[in-house]
Amino acid sequence: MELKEYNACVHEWADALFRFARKCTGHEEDARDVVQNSFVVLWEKRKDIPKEKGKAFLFQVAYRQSINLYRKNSRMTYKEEMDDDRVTRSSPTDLKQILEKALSQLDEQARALVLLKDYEGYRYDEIAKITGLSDAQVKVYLHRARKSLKQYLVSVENLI
Amino acid sequence: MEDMVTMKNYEEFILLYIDNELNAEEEQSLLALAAQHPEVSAELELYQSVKLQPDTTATYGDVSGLLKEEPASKTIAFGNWKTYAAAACVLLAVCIFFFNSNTSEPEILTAQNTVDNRPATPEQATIAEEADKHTQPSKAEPLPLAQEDTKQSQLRPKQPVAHIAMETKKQPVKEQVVITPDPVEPVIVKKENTAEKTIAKTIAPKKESITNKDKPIVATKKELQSIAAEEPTKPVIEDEPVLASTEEPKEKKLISVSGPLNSSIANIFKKKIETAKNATAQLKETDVVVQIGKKELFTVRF
Repeated sequence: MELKEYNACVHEWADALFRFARKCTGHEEDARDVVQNSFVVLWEKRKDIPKEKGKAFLFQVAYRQSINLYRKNSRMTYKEEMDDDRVTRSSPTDLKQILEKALSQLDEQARALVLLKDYEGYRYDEIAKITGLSDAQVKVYLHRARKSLKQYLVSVENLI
Repeated sequence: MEDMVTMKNYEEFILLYIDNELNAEEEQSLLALAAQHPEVSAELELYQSVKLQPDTTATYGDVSGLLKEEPASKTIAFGNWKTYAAAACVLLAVCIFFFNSNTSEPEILTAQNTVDNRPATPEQATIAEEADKHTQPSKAEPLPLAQEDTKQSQLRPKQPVAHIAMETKKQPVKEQVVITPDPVEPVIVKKENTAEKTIAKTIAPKKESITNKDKPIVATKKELQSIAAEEPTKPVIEDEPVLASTEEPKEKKLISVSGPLNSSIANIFKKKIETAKNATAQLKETDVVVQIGKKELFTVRF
């Protein structure tokens, strides 16, 4: 990967990487750190990475760093989210907010799988390469995550 | 097709459908089942509602901090290529200039070479002049050396002296070759005087110059008389102007080269060459001793 190709990856995937990292970490500043670190690693290993594999490499690095950051700050992040009354006091009909709440309820791995699938449209085998899981594991973990989201949505509606 | 998706496994197919992992056949089977069973359709809609949609409003922002720039001007050896190119052009122009100047030299050299075809030594040149003079019967000075026998040729040094003297008028010559009337070994005496006085001295008392001046030899009285008898128009002194006049045509024959100075020099050389040629032709049987003053340099034997 040459300099021009690296800069093209920055322009093309910086926003998507930020959204993924932001959802995974639950914190915007952490997400920026994840994005910066991901591109730093890509620059350091640019000679070994072809242009077409740049996106997958970036999300792979971002996934690992997001998981690590989330696990490191899980309690605090979770507390912040739990203390955020905006979510509880908002209208339950706001589906987007409900989904964000439901997503935060998932574990970091399941959340990452859902984000990779819904945000970036990766296939099972691609998600497996990024997360280091097998295709079967990706399928099972992802189905479980969707069921959890559905259950949360149903429970909220029931409360409404 | 319908058996593929049943009421027992429709939830799995729904999840696969949400993940876009079904093929066309499986998708049609699931939709068909959902159409037949409302609970399947409700389940399908519920899973579709929990599918996340990317928030395009959330962006990283300024990515300039992530971009990398090219290293500042990778200096290479030919960074100042313009300077090197200018220096190369100047050097080429200088080389062309010198080359052209060298090519123009042969023109002069050719003229000089023609003149230089004469013998290398001045002595030989004067001898050639003298021989040339002797071969020209049109000259007022009847050069007996050219026409007479070898014995007579030995007695002709007087005239060569005049030639030499005349020659000095036109061009300063450090050396004058005088062919003495010595029948055995004519000696060439070199004179270093270039002034006209020396010329007059050498010309006027022609015979005396031979004997008095610088040196060697002197013809015997008998030889002188024989020469005088055979050469009615002998007096060198009188012939001097004739010699000068006769020599002039020679000069006209000289090759003209570029510049007045070069032309005169070329003429002189040409003249000497001719005289040398004539002298050599006539002095085949005579030995010539070349001297400078009283010092004998070498003897040329033909």
